[in-house]
Amino acid sequence: MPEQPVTDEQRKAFEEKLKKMSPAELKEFQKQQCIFCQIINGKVPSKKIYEDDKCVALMDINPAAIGHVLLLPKEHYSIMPQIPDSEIGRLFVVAKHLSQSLLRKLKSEGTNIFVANGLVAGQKAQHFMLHIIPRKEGDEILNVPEHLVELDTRIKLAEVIGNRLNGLLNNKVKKEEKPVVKKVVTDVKPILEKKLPEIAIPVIKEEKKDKITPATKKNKTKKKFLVEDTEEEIETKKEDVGLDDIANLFR
Amino acid sequence: MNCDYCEISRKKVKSEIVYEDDLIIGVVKDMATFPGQISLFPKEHYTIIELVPNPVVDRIFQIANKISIALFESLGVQGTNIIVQNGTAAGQKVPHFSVDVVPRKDGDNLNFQWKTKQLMDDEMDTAYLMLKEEGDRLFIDKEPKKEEIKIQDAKTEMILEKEGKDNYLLKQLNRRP
Repeated sequence: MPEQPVTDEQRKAFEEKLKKMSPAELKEFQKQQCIFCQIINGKVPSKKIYEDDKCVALMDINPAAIGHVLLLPKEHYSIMPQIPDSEIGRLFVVAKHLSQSLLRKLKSEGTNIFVANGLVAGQKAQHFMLHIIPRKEGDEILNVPEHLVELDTRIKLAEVIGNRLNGLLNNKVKKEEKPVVKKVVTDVKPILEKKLPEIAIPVIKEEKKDKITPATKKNKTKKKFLVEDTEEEIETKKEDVGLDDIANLFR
Repeated sequence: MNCDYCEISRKKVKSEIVYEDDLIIGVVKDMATFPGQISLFPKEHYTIIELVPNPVVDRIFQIANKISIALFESLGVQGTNIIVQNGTAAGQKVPHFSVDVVPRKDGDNLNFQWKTKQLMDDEMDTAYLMLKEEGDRLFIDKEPKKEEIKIQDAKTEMILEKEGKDNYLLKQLNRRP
């Protein structure tokens, strides 16, 4: 009992400490508290089935079915957005092979690869992980009813999400995209001929604004029909190149 | 053969496209666990993930992550689920591999949990041993190629460094004092 007042004080001091911590310190603190980091270090015993320099796969101790496997990055990330692109791809390639071994060795009828990002999505540990779950007909795992989403809502959702996604992808590509934009303009030279210097520059600017703020896109599409054919050609070409460029980056 | 997702990627059916490149396409799902659920799939027809080439797997999940971030930021949701259903027993409805990104909100009443299955120790152990055997083989398959490349690079770098130091760097250092 005499310990209780001490723990209260400690808790207050601890809370203040937490508030003062920088994001980097917080991450370090979270790492020290994380049981999965200790499992990865080998301080806590586990049944590891695969390990490389970036990730570890182990048997889940609270499995949904026999052969439920967890795949964790060795680095401590709490959610998926924190993980660098290169590591994400690698993790899921490993997940693919693990899924294959579940199918082959345990003769399961199917597999789920499942990720929960955030508490509301059902994430329990603060260490990001993939679940690879062997499935059998009628086992009632991850059985969530689906409902029809009306077309109007779908169109709105596609616009909102698509715009944000374009923003995300273009921000990252911007530096390498610049030379490509110039190339396109030179390709279009013969079509535009004399007017090139006047028209070409504003077109680039408008296109950039278009990508950053979704609100301008509506106005832009209305404009499109009024503008001459030549400008439309530039726009469509440029968008194509942009998308290919993003694609190349991920190759 | 009629595959709904192939029809979508060939643009034979109207769909609400969120992302598209030369290999993959992402659409807003019409039958969804939550409005705003995105299905992301390769344009090429593969039934399950095991058949999808690694570079496509690599890219599709990088884009899935970007879509997940876009859902966080555009819909203001507090979480996302990323789900692959591999085989009809796993809930796969279209025979075309896809990754589903589901936006999640507090109180959305979606139950993506599962009951813990009580296992006997020996059941767990046999599964563990079988999977470990496969896992070890996985490790062997992957490593050798990388090492070969690394060794070659290291050698050439070493030579360049040595020659460089003898010719320029060391002499310059010696001159200064």
